[in-house]
Amino acid sequence: MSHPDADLHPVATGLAKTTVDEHASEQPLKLFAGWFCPFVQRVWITLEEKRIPYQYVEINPYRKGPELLRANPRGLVPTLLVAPGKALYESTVLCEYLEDHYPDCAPRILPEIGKDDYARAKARIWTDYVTSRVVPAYYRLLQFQPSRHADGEKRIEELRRELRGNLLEFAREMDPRGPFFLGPDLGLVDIVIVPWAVRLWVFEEFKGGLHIPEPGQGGSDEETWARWRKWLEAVSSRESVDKTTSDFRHYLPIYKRYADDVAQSELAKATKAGRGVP
Amino acid sequence: MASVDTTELPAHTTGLAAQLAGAHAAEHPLKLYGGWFCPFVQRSWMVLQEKRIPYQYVEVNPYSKAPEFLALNPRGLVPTLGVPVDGQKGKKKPLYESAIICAYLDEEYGDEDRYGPGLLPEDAYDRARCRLWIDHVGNKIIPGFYRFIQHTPEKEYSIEEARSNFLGHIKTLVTEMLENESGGEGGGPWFLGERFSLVDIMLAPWAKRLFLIDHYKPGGLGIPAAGQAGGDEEEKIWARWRKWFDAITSRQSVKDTWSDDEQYIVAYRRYAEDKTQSEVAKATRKGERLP
Repeated sequence: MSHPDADLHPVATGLAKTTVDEHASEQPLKLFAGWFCPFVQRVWITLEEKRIPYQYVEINPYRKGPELLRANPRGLVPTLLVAPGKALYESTVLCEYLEDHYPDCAPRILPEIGKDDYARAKARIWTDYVTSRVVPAYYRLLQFQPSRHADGEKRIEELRRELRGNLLEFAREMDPRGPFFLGPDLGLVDIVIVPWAVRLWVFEEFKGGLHIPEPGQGGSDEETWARWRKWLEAVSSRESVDKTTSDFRHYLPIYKRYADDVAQSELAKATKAGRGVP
Repeated sequence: MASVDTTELPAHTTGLAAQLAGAHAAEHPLKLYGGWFCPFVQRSWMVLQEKRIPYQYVEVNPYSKAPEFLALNPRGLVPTLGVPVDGQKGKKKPLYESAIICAYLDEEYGDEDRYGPGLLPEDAYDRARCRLWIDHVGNKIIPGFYRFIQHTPEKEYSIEEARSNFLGHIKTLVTEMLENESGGEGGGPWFLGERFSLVDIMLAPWAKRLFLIDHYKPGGLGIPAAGQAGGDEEEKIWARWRKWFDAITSRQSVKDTWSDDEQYIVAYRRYAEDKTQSEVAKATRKGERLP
């Protein structure tokens, strides 16, 4: 039976299509990916930043082939096949693996072991923060249906405040000059949040906005929001982010399903059940 | 803030853990802020012991936190590691999240001549595989433990469901162990086989606390005894589990960071009756990711 979400556009488009085409040929390292998936984008950005050779394999997450399920019984993307029979998954684990396994492929995305282990641990704390706080708050707001609740408008306002609060807390921890989280160079903390940072348009489109204050309207958080904007500008204009982004119009129907709370992804189901990222 | 009746909650370490805490009571720049009964603290404490890292242990009452502690970590959770700042005597910077503290200690104290073998393999793939299964322990097994122990008849899920969900996640882990061994009785005892690692440490505190489920929950833990598993595959899985379980519960760092069994029974009654207001319990009730 055809899954309702199986009608999504089947392949990458725009700049991402060029990247996919450049990585179509057989390579020992294979990325099983969904072109629209923000978790995939984390790993994809890392591969592009480090210019690691890889083969991109498009997977329709609702029509998973046997190759993916053999590699990852959980059947989720991203999955990385590093050698026959040797698969890895969990997007953050994959980013760290690429960092460890290709030490000569600059840039480094984490402070090196033995050089500044405290900074390395701090980076991991804030990487963890993104997945455990920011991402679930993003989907809780996106999937919320005000019409289903008597106090729907009040609740959606709380959800907006929660997500803004998470972004503020994140921005407060940034290196003051930046522009990236840890300083002048892009790192893992930036990579794990950027796919959602560049998907904040969904709230303008579907949820009446996120209401991040305009410059000059930030009150006591003015400086922090200014820092956020500086960071967002830097990550949005990063080439690796552009090269892994498809045409905007193809994202719309996918995110509309989340906005109407009819998406059937594992993530959507987990959000409905009040659980975190699967 | 809701006040919690902590009059019954034992206030400090007992048994071997009390001896260890006493041996690490003296001032030291590296400080572990912990709660004696907290399994997340036990992970970090075990790493300090395994690697023979010098430290000071500071007991924190999670329901009445000292201002000095909150100044270091405003989130106020244990474990928190107070890491000395180079060249600034007395100044500390905080780390939290038990898995991150453990990884930090393993990396910072990486000199194998002084601190013994690393707790993760050297090879990038093997390391990533360990991280993957650490993730499984933290996101599947441990939440399953709390859903199980906090089950009450009022819940919308049955205890059978909680039990089979929990045991299922354990079986998944053990299956991964078996698949990476050459077979026969020789495999193990650790996750990686002969090599003890962070994966074992991540799960150890909950292995020690399984007896609480037998104590408090009708039907108990439900792990079949030898010969009772009802199938060759199941027998193999549970035999391998017992091998790991026996090894981890006899590990010195596990024993040394353990207080008296009776104290845990008192401390976990609140979980068993689903009355505790710990952050972990609240998150479990809401079905949220653990804090």
